Amino acid sequence: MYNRFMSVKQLLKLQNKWVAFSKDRTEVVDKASSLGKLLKKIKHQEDLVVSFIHPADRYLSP
Amino acid sequence: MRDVTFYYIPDIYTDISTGKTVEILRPKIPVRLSANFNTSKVLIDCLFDTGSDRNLFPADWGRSLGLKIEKGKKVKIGGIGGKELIAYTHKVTLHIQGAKIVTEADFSNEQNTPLLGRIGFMDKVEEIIINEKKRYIKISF
Repeated sequence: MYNRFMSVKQLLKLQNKWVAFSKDRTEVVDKASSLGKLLKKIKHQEDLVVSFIHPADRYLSP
Repeated sequence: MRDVTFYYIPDIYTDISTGKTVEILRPKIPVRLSANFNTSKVLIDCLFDTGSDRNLFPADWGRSLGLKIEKGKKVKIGGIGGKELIAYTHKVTLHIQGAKIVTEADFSNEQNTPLLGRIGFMDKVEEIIINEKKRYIKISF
């Protein structure tokens, strides 16, 4: 079974942003508008999981 | 052979029929990337995309490892909607749960979501089982 790390309300606040989560994905460590900016901000931190939170008003069809 | 199971990751989208923002589970795999003798400290969620021919990553990810993105081989990538992207191919190593996959990836300034595609990822592992009902992918390395 998957884990529900965050509520929809919490994720909605993060949409369209690159987000660095703690390894268990329960805590937002940092966020930025681009991956480059985020990686610069967190470059000395290990074991974070970075994810792009897709805008909620668009389906994902790469 | 080693099996690793990746449960889908919660994301959000707006339900067309109700207009409400709801949870959607997407198949994402956390990847650590090596290139240019550097390895990323963080894991980045990559979409497991059976519709993608090749691996396609945001250029910023490669730049953070010191890659000169535009020095790679220039390729054109066509999307489903006909949109064309310019990308540059580089040799990389994907680190996934202790497994190492030496491969190639295309890096684009126009791509946000990192994609793991069939050539260069899916064809490099022994077996992949997708269980859409239970929302997991099992990969045998």
